[in-house]
Amino acid sequence: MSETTLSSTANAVINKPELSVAKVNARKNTGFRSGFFISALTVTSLITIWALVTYFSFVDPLYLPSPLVVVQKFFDLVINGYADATLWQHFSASISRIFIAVIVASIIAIPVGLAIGINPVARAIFDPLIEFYRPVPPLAYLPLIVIWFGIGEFSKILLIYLAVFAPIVVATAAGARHVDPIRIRVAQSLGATRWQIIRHIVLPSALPDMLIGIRIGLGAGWSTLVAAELVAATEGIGFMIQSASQFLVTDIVIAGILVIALVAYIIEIGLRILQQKLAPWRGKVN
Amino acid sequence: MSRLSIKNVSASYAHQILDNISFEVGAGDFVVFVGPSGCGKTSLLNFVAGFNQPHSGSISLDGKLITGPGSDRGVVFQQDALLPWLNIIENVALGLELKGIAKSEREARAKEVLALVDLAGFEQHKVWELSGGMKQRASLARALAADPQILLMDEPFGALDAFTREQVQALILKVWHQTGKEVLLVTHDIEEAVFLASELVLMTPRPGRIVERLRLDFGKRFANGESARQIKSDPKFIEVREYVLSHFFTGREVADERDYA
Repeated sequence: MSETTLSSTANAVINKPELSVAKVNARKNTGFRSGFFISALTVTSLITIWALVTYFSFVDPLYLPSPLVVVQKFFDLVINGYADATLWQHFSASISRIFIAVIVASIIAIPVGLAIGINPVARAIFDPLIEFYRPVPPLAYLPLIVIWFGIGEFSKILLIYLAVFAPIVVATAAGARHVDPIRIRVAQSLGATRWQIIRHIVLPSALPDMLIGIRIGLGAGWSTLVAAELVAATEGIGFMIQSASQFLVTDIVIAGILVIALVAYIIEIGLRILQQKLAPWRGKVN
Repeated sequence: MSRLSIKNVSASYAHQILDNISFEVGAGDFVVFVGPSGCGKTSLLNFVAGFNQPHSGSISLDGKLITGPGSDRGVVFQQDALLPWLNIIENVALGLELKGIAKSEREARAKEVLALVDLAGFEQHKVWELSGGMKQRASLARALAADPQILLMDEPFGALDAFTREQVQALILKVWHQTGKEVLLVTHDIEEAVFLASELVLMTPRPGRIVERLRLDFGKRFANGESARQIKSDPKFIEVREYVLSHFFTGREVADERDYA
C-alpha cells in the first residue's frame, strides 16, 4: 500500500519536468498562432469597418468606394485595363523598373558599402555624397533628372535606383565596419591575406546587414515608384494611380494601392525567407 | 634547444604593461603563463601571435623575427571564434583553404584532426549546434589543421563550466603529447596552470614581470596514464599549488577586513 503511494509520488515527481516542457512548447505554439490570429483579426476588422462605413453611406463613394466596388474594379482592370493597358501590363512595367533598379543598386552598392566600411579613404570619398543626397525627397531632384536625362525609361529607373542605393550602402558599410575583430584575428593567424580576409570574413559577416539593406531599399523603391512614373509614363501602377486620381476614379486609386501593398508584402516575406536561408546564424550566434 | 625566444619585451599604453620580459620556449615545452589580470599575460600572447607589436624588445620563432600574424603560430581564442557561416569541417579546414589546398585533400586532413579532438561525426554540424566544450575542441582542431609550429591559447577554458573544463584540459594534454608541438597558454586559474604546465611562469602586475619559473611534470604524468584526480590529490601537487598561491595571496587580505572573534 505504502509502496504504491511512494511509487506514484515518484512518478509524479518524475513526470513534472516533462509536463513543464510540454507547457512551454504549448505556450510557444500559441504565441505564434495567436500572433497570426491577431494579425488576421486586425485586417478583417479593418475591412469590416470599411464595408460598414460605405454600406451605411457615412462617406461619399467618391471619397471611399465600398470594398465590393474595389474588388469589382480590380477584376475590371485585369480584364479591360485602364488607359490602354491591362492591370498586368501596368504591373509588369512597374515591377521590372523596380527589379532593374534593385539589382543594379545591389551590384554597385555592396562593393561601395564594403569599401566605405573597411577603407577610411573610400569612406571619406563616398560618405558626404551619400549623406548629402540621401535625405532629399526624390520628388525634389526629379526635375533635375528629367532635365539631364530626358523623359525616357532611364530617368524613371534612375530615380528608383537612387532611392534603393542609399539604404543598401549604409547597411553594408555598417555591417563591414562592425565585423567582430576576433574573426579577423582568426583569419590572420591562419595566414590570410588582406583580400582573403575581405572574402572569407568581412563579406559573410556583413551579409545579414546587406540583406536588411536590400529589404529597406526595396521599400524605398516602392515609395518612389509613383514619383518615377510621374515622368511621361504610359504604363505602370504608379502612373495608373496618379492618372485615376486626376479623374477622381477613387476605386482605381484604392485598387492600385492594394496591389502595391500586397506585392511589396509578398516580396518582403520572400526576402525574409531568403535571409533565413543565406544567413541562418543570425540571432543564434553574435 | 629553444624555439620561441622573447627578448627584453616591454610595452606600455596608459601605464606600463610589460617590463623587460625575456623568455625562451624549448622544444616540446608546455608553457603556462599565470598571473592576476593586469599582469600583461594576454598582451604578451598577442605579441607572440603578431596581433600587436611590443614597444621594445623582439620575439622570434626558430630564429625568424615575428612582425605580424602568421600560420606558423596557431591561436585558440577564448570563445566564439568559429565562423557561423561555415559548418564544422569547413571551419577546421579554413587554414588549408586559405593556403589554396584542394577541397578533397583539406577535408581529409580536417577529418583526421576532428577525430583527434574527439569530434568525429560532427563534420557537417552547424556551429550553433555544438556545446561550449565542443566549440573549443573544434577551435583547437582548426588551429592544429593548419599544422603550426607552436600553439597559442588565450584562456581557452575561460567560458567553460567546471566539468567541461576538465575534459578539454585532458584533451589538450593528449594533443600536446601526441603531436609534440609546443604550447603557450595563458590563464588566471592556478590549479589549471600547475596541472598543465611543463614550464610554469608566474607573473605579477603593475608592471607585468616574471617573478618565478617552475619546471613541472604533472601534465606529463597525466599524458602517461595517471588519472587527473590522482595527480591533483598528490601531496606534491598540493604543495606546488599552495606555493604558487602564496606568491599572489598573503592569506591575510580578507582576515584584515573581517572580524570573526
